[in-house]
Amino acid sequence: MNKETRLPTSLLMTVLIGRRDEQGKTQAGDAAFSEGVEHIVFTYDYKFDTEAEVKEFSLPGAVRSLLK
Amino acid sequence: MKSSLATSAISIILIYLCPILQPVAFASPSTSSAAPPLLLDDDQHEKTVAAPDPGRALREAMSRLSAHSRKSGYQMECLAKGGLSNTGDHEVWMHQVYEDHRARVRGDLMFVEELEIYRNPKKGAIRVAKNWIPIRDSPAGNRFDRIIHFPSRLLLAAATRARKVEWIERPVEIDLNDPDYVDPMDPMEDPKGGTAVVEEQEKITSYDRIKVEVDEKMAVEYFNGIQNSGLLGGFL
Repeated sequence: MNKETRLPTSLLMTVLIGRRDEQGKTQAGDAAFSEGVEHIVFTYDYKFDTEAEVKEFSLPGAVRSLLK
Repeated sequence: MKSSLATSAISIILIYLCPILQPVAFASPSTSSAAPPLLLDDDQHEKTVAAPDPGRALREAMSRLSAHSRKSGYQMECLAKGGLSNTGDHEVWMHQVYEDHRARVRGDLMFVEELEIYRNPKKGAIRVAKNWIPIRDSPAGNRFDRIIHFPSRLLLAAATRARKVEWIERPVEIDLNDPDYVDPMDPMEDPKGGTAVVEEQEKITSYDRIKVEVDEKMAVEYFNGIQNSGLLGGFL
């Protein structure tokens, strides 16, 4: 977080999904994501720039209808 | 080797709020508990100050970002990537998803110039062949809508579905040219004697990074979003 504004400057989300092994079993707990155990990982890395002002959007009529 | 279906998963989501740092190399983030900092008063007597509540700090960050978004808006960049890993540090050796997008957010609206997308947390519109259509009617719009999330919603989910919230220390920047640097793969000297060594918990020195663990259902929800984006093509 920015220490002056206390606004978040970045956000990192990690999603871990265990996989079944060839015996059809998924290891219990964090062991499913441990060294040598194949698992699925997705990360979402957000960076925020709160310095630059963003003007209010002028939505086209068709967009306004679709967002209702 | 392994079955190709990712079902019955045990999963976890970690969310960090942190200053932007791009060092050459990172040590793995620590997950130590917060220790109260020491301050010296005028008489140089030590007194302890309680660590700030990380859950409260998370909720404040959420409120501040939301208020700032309504008042002045902000720009964001999101890199979403992932695939298969077989290491404890979750390094991906086979990427299946790599999506990098920039957007502007003002209040409850997001605009993505590169894809000509407007969206709010519930619906979206994308411009295809000069026509505005529902965002999920286009493959590119569907992919974006399912992969890139509203930061305010992520923070809200983190605040309301958290199982564990804690302060974490900043990653340590490693200077490989430092003469005192020791490669972790180098063999350590054998400790003499039979005394057990208790690893000391790392103390928190700056309260600006929060780690949140949320429930497993949320991980599955986000994974379903990736699956429904069409990016995996039945691979995982």
